[in-house]
Amino acid sequence: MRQTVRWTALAGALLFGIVACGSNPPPDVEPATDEALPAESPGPDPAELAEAAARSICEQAATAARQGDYERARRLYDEAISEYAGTDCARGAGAQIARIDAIETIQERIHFAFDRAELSNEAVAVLDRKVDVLRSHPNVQLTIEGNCDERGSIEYNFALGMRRAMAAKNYLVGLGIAEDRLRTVSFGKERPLDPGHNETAWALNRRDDFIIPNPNAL
Amino acid sequence: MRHRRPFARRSGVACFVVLVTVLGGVSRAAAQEGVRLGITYRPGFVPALALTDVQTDGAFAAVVAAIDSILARDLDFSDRFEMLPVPDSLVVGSGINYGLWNQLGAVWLVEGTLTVNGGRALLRVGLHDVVYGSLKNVQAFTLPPVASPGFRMAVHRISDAVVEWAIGEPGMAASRIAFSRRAPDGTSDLYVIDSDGTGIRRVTFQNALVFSPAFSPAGTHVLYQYQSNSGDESAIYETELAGGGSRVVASGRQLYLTPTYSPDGTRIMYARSTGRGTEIFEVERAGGRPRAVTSTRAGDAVGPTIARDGRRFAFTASATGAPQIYVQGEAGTRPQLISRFVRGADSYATSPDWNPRDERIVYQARVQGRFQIVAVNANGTEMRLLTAEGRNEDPSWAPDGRHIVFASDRAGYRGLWVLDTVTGRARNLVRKHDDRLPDWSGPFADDE
Repeated sequence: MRQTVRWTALAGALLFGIVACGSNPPPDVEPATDEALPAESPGPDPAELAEAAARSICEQAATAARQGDYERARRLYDEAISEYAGTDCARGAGAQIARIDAIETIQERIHFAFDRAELSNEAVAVLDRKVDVLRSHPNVQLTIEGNCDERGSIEYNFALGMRRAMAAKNYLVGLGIAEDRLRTVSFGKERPLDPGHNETAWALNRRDDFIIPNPNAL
Repeated sequence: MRHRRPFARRSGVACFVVLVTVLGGVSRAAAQEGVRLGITYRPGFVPALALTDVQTDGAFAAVVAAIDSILARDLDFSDRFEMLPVPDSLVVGSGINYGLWNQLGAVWLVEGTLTVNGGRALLRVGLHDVVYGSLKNVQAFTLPPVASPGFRMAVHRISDAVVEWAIGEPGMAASRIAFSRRAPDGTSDLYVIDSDGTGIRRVTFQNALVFSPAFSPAGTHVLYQYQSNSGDESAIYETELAGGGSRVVASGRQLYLTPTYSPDGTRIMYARSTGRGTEIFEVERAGGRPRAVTSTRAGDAVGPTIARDGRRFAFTASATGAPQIYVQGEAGTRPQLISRFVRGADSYATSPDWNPRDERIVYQARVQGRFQIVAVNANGTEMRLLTAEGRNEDPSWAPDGRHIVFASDRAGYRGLWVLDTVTGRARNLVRKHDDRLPDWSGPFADDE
């Protein structure tokens, strides 16, 4: 996969170079081919080629990150670092990976027992990791969305979802995160992650989602 | 008395007595208390009623046909009568042959005459007591044009008048049901439908999360919970059904839900999240400062429903950990648990609705892992299971204090159902949409 990405990027850069070189041909010269390119021609600068290839990778990575495909984004940035060291993209990739890590840490869901809003040990560990990120990025806001599985009643689940969101908020506030950075909302049972009607789906759906309304602050 | 058909409706719906023993911890605990939660319908005597075709001079056949079919359906849906088939050969002429109707088994006979004078349609309706051979009541009703939106409701009011004359209790034909319909994209909006399942129309166009409609006592306004799709906005709205104008009753950064009117329409209760849970608040409909009327502190209090005395209210709260139904008097007094809570059992009760005419409260409770509708007196006595098949939720009383509407998947699809709590007869009101949280209005007055 790494090789594919690399060669795709290189091929793209080469093509770009060829098109650029051929932009001003004499009108009566035969169409440019590989053989027709004069060997002694200066050609594209390898450094520029690498820069262009790396730029392409960084653009793909940024798109993947925007779309929430953090795994792909992280892989592409890793690629830039290992294969295109010295390029602008590679120099910035480390920070981008750190940013993705921060986003993923903040967005990591927590889950609840049926009809309960108390934080589990696992949930507390997840929230503890968020605190570090929130402290180091003081401008980041957070919307905590409480959700329930389908088994309860519609109206009561709105209240229960709100209590689940508040449980996370109150814990974060207790650890020093400013209250005005945290917003709580509830979607009751209206936004299931898994539409299934079994324990696996229900367990997944009893959750808090963590949304960053201002991702550029990261 | 010559009531020859003391149990006229023999169709198996009316007179069945099914005791559904509730399994699990609830039933065991209940049995220890000497109480069983079961389905029991004892309709008793259902008088036979003959409805003859409305007479007219011939120019208004279409109007008369519409009236006949609305009256027939309403009186059937009232579940107060056994509807007697009337032979075509039997035409009501100048006089009523009580002996003949008596032979056919009729206890009540309804006949009507339509006249039109100066563009005004007058329907004169008479109710005859066949057993005593006398006219019980007669009244002339002015009807709007058949094509006007008020026509059906005007006929519904006549049906309710007949029920009142015969039984001495109000009907529920002249009423509507508001509910929340979920669209395929996950948003919900409100719809309103007549009690007989006709005249459905959409009343909100928020394309957001719109829940928990509640009719004003006169049926002119609806309160509802609004939440934007992002969750950023939460509010209680009041919308006028005729004009469509809306106003915000309460809104803010908290969660606002489950609004309801007081029976006199002067106050509004709703639930609002606080820092620790959800409490119930009350505000004058005319405005002013909302005040908290519950103090569960760490629990969730939602879904208030106010008693006909306007003072007491029932609500859902999770003080025990599992949601249960409580009744509270004046603000600050101690709430009384009225649903059956058994610690450690699969106990879950929500969504109460207080009967507009008496002390009964209906709610949904988990029974053998599925939601069923339960009725109980406000003091916790006479608990009855009203449903047993499928998943049944969010009950709301009709203005007759006898029927309920609720959401159910009992027929294999989602829909709204009407159940007569006396006979156990159920009918489908709306089907094959994800329709939820129905609220039954009060009676619609003449000046609609």
